[in-house]
Parts: sequence; C-alpha cells; structure tokens
Amino acid sequence: MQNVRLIILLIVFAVAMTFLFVGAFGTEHKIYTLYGETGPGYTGSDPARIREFSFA
Amino acid sequence: MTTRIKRRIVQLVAAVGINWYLFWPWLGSRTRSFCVPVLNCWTCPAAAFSCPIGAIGTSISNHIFPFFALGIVLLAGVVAGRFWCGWICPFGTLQDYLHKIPTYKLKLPHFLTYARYIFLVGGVFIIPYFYTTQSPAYWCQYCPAGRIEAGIYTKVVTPMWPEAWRFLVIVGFVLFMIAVQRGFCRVFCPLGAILGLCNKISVWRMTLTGHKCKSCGVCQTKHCPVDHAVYKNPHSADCIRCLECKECKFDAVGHGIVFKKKKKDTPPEETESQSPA
Repeated sequence: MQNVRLIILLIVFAVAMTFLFVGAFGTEHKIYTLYGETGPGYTGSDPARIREFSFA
Repeated sequence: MTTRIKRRIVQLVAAVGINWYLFWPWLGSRTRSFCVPVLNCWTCPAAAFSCPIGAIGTSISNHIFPFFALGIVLLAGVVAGRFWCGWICPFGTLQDYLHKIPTYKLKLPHFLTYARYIFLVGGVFIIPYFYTTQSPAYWCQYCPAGRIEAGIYTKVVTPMWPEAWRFLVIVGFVLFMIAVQRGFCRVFCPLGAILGLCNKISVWRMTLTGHKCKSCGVCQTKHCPVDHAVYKNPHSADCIRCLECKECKFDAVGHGIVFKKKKKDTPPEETESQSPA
C-alpha cells in the first residue's frame, strides 16, 4: 500500500512539474493578460461595468 | 505556545503577505501572474497573487487548458496536501474568526462534504467550458471570497448598493460560516477538493501512533476545526492539517515526511495510517 502511494505521488509530481513547465514556457500566460493584471474582475469605478462583473 | 496560537500568527502573516499591495499599492500588480495555492480573490486591489480557481475557471471559459495554475495546485498538494488550507489561506483565516462569534452553532452532516467535488467539476470545469464563452469565470461570480474580499473594497471605492440577490448570497455565506466552522472549506471550496485528494499521497503527512491512541475522540470534538476524526483516517481529504490534534494528551498524533525511515524499535502497530479502532 505504501509503495502504491509512493508511485502515485511520483506520477502526480511528474504531472505537476510538466504542467508548470508547459504553463511557464507555453502560451498560457496570456490568460493573465485577458483583463490586464487585475484578474477576472473589474476594479474600476464605472457602475455599469461593476454590475457586469458582478463582484460588487 | 500552543499549536493554535502558532497557527493564528502564521495565518495573519500569510494573509498580509498575500495581500501586500494593501500597503504598497504604487508597486502595481505584476506578481499577479503567479498563483498561490489558496483562495484569495485577485480582483481585490490588495491581492498580490492570483487565485488558482479564478485562473483555472478563466482559462476553461476561454477553452485554454490551465497548465500553470493546475501545476501549482498539484505541486502544492503533492508537497503538503491541505496544509495550505489550515495555515495559509486568508479566507480560511476569516472563517476561523467568523466562527468565534458567539451564536448558535451547527454540526454539519458528513455527506455534505462531498459537495465540494460537485462544485469543482461542475462550477470550475464543466459549466465554464460549455456554457460560458468568456470571462469572468463562472465560479468567480458566486465565490464568497471574491464577494467579501473584493466586493467590500469596491463598495468603499464606489459607494453603490449591490443587487438584492447578490447581497443575499453574501449574507447567506457569512451566516453559514458563523454557524459552521470552516463551512465553506468543507462544503464548497473547489481548491480544497483538489488539495484534499492530494492528502492521501502527499510527501508531508499526518501520522498516528496506533498503540498510543485510546480513541477517546477529544482530537475530533475539542480540537479539530473541521470535525474530523484523525484517529480513524489520518490521510482523509477532510483534514486541513492544522495540527491542532497534536495537542493529544497521549501524544498519538504527529506528522512526518513519507521518505523518512522508520525507527527499528518501532512497535509493529505503530504505522502512519493504522487505526486503533
């Protein structure tokens, strides 16, 4: 049982590192610029956009 | 110093560290391209890092696989499981303090804790992929972390009443978190669902010394913030690894590294996962 856990641990670790590598050097970083650097919400003062982005 | 006091100090330092633009807003938001494995809404101007669930949901909405955000969450989970929930997460810290409000408290039925997997798969992956074509991410529209952390700030900057149903959602979540300790973490948190699955395989994990444990249940009823019986399953996905169960008077609960060699004089029943029950 312990060995099975260890094998799964190594597999998940390898997957995580692969994802990190692909994410860091691939094109996914563009996602963070979709809304500038503010994330998926809106932090301005336009009431219409505040309504639209629903965090308010 | 008890584990609880140590945890409170770490939680407060972490909350400030993750939201350090509160004190230095002129530095901008350049570090937000990096995720931290905790629920801290990046819409809040004080947030220095992005929320992995927001990043994953936004990516899925745009039909892009979230390699980076998912990689960080998996790596954090593989290293320490839900330790991040118990010691670092600012929203978890907020819930810990909300629960201190002296009102009627509820005991949560265990089956409700499985709901967080539904919110993870449905709210973060399936609905955004099939039913939303652009950001903001579907989950973020309902996430109380965003509504409380970012929404309150927005209200201060731009005084304006929220729509009634949104206001009711916020109030409902706050009341729920006051009545049920770590209620959001246990029932709703999609990030906790991912990290909880990693609890079973993580490098750093809880250990239980079987022959010392008397199954008295004090660790569950008196210490554990999520009402989990660590003596039944130390690697449960429900455990947030706050280590408060280490206050066990029989010294039966501990923690350790999976690669650490066991001592030769360890009794045969002293294993890290064996239950005395």
